[in-house]
Amino acid sequence: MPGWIRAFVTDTGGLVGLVIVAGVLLAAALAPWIAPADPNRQELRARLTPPSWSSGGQARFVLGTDHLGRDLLSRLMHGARTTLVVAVAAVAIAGVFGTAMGLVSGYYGGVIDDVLGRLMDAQLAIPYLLLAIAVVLVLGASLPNTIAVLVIGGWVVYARLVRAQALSLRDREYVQAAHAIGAADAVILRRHVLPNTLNPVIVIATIEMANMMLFESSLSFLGLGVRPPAISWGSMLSDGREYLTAAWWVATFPGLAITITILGINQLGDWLRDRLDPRTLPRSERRGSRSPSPRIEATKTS
Amino acid sequence: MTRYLLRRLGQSALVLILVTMAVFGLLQVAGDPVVIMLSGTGASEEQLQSLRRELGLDAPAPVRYLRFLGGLLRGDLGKSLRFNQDAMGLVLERLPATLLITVAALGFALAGAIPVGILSAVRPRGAISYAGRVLATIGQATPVFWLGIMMVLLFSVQLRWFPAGGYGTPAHLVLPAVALGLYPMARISRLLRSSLLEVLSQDYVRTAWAKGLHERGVVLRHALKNAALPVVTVIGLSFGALLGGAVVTETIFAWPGVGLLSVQAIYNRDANLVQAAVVLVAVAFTIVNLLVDVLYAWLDPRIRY
Repeated sequence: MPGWIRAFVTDTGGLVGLVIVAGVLLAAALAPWIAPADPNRQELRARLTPPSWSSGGQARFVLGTDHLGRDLLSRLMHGARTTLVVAVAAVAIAGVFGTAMGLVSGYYGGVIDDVLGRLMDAQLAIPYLLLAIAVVLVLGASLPNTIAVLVIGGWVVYARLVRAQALSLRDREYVQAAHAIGAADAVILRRHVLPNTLNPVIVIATIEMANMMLFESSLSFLGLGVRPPAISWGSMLSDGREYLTAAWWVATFPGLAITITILGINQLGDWLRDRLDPRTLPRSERRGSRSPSPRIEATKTS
Repeated sequence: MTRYLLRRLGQSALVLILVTMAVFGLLQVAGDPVVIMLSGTGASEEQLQSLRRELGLDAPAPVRYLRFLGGLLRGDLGKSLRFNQDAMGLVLERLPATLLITVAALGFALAGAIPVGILSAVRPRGAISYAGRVLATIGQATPVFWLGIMMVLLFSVQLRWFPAGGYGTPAHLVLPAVALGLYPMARISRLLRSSLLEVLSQDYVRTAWAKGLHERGVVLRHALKNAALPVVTVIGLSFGALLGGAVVTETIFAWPGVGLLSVQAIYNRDANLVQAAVVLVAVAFTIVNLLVDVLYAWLDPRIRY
């Protein structure tokens, strides 16, 4: 479909986002093969080696080493794996669970809706990180628990969004018609309501992907997330914090990796939102849109 | 208005009851605090029992929940397992520091976001608009803890302008407030820009232009008021994000607030202290949300639920 390809190329923000995200994905997927060194191999004689381009740097440690003499570049590549696995899992589980809750809540209404609505309000009344702290106190810090914490904090966003959509779709004529010909609720929800809520869910999921990465690294930074030997950008950063005056690179590069990755996802998310939600398009673009139904076209391409 | 207020108050109360139930339930799953506290000390079963009795942990769960709720109303959330002091007192002692840093961060965010938002809506193709958008994009992607560390590296280690951490003088406040405020600044300026752009294209704004008002009058007196409505909502929501972000910021800058206290409480597995911190912050946040909603209804007379 050349139309959307052209749109992507002319839209530099989306392109930048795609390049960044693709780069991170590649680095994460190929880390065991392309990383220059074993990320957990310590070489104490080479500890806190500066990046290769500054004085005292060595060519084999492109971005330098940390306080145990481990190669930063290799650790960043392997850290990308952890970060992505956690973020993708959290977004997928929270998205499915939240969407299901929102569908049920919005479609059936009544008592179910009241109960779920209050639950969501209650959860939103606790700032996310504090909630995470309380959950970590219970579960302990580990990789699966980090995903659990993120899901517990993340599902409400989807539930609220889908609930609002389902609420408005419930009274549409085609839904009423499906009801009238005797379709079961489960069929109506799956075939008629769910597909019409998916576009905004996809957009939110992209934004949430960035948020989940941010929260994962915050938790790992505080020592409440992923534990060694698993590598996380957040915990790398917190390691580097203690050597800030002696070795600026140890804390700088993991943070840079987080920022650039999140920037890329955000750019991609903005672009997706513009494609999937015609209401947010700038006026000129909206008028010039050649496709009579940008929503459908965008769904196929995504 | 009174009816709306009462309904809204009832909702907030219900939310808070659910919050207390959730927190209480969570800590029931956390395991026996007495065992956690005395693990590794070789305490006998009798000693465990006597400590349980002393802390009132021998009653069944519903009884303890009601006791907990009653305690909350009387301002007593039990003793910190670690410090052996009143947990609520410990949290309340730290609350002003957290509020100070949140309010300072919000002030910093608004001081930057309002002029940038207005200017970039009025001159959408101007330099400020572009610079503001680039900064907002970067600001929304930068994690608070990295920004904080980089600022320490630059302004404390290299330039020695501000202290790297601690509490007390206004100079201590600068770095944490800026680090914490950048994200809401980015978010609010983007929102103000888009909401002002929308308002500026409406008929009544054209009327204001047509009756010969100068730009300042049109934008500041007529458009800004209506554009401010969604911004008020987001400021309320940002407050929650700020309270959460304060946890990280306080840890970086050794700022003695509730966030630092709760992170340390986790390290010490001090369940009572975590419970007190979460409940009190949730109460504070709920009150802020209530105030925002009331303010909203007052600003926009059309809103009546």
